[in-house]
Amino acid sequence: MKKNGIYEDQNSNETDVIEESFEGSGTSIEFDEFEDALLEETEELASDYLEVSSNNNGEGQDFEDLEVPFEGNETTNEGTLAEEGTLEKVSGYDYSIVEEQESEEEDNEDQLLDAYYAEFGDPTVAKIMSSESGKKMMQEVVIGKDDRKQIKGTTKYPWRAICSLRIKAKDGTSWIGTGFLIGPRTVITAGHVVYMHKHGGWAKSIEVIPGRHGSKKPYGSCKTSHFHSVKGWTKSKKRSHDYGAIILPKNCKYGNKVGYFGYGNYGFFDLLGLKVNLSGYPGDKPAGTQWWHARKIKAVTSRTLVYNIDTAGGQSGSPVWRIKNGKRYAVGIHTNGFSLGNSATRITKPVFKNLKNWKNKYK
Amino acid sequence: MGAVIKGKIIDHLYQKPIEEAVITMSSSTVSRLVDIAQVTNEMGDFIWKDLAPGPYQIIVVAEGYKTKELQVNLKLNEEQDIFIEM
Repeated sequence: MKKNGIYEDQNSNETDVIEESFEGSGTSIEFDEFEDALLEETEELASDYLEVSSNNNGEGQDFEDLEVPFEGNETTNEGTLAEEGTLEKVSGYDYSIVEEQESEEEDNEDQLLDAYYAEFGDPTVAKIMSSESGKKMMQEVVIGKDDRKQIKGTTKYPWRAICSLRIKAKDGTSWIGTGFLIGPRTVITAGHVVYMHKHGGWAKSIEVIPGRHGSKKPYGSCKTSHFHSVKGWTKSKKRSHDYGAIILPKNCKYGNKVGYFGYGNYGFFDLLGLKVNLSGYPGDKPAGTQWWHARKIKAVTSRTLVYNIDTAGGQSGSPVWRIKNGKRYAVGIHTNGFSLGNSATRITKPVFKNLKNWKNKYK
Repeated sequence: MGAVIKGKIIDHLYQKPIEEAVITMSSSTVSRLVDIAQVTNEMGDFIWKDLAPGPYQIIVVAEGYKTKELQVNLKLNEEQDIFIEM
């Protein structure tokens, strides 16, 4: 279906996973079929918690859904930071905080859960959250003091694969966000970064600045109007489908130079309690500076991850990642800030498939 | 529809609009707030649409100015104008 001559839907009956794309006015229209992804999505909706039980062995799963990262061809990688388990090792950070279990508001736990999951529109989640495993997920409630750390060596991997975004919306407003490379030309971000429902729909253009450090753009920048998302976001505005991709021009293969993240579809019990990293470009800090933080994932729903990692406006689209065997794998795409826990779109099987397609299609 | 905030940010001393100021919004009660920030245009203007009712904290960061924080309380479908001097 064409609308205003600028984009085309793949399937007007299904709204959850069918991909949409936008290449800017006057360019060719993307048209992809995602029947496999749709099937997976339908199955997942019907069996959200079967997934939980099938992975309830406390062990790492056999990952078919794992895309490996690439650290880039840059030679200035000698300073790459060592890791601390699944976390980056950032100088001056008190890692003992990550271990702490904050439970000051446990008295209000039931009310908080009800409010939170009612707001996120996933009623089946509320049921499981009332169970013992659900309560375990909410042991941490309060987001403590802001102990984000600035990343100053943004020309080192993985920081250089994280991009500052300057977004020009269709209605003329300007915004900032974050994205991360998963391939030579593919930058993943939040759906609301590429498609803003109340500001004209698809963004007019986005400037992508990898490894930005204040006013410095060590790799320059590229502007594009070629975006992807899914109908669950663009048509239905489902928070659970808030993710998208920015496709860089053919002459701007940043991923080959600065590297890119891997990503994986991890199971419920692999994610719950996992210590994860989040780094992006918050608007409450000096312009264009990158800030990192880490915490455990405190809640896992069928489509979202919740954590007490401190974030601010501008960090939408930041990678939420773990380190495994020295490699960086994104497990979520940061989207929302809230006092009960900030949250990401979880990389589930359908999300994984779309990311992989967007990566492989644009090399 | 949602509430709307229209704002203008100006230099206190020279009474001129501040371009490229970054506005972030947060709320302890509104859970659907997305983590994106807006940048003022050459007139120092910004507009934030489709907000749920409730209290919000607004932080304005502009190069060369002290960061400013303020609180607003939005009612259902209200359109509120704010004027910020830095």
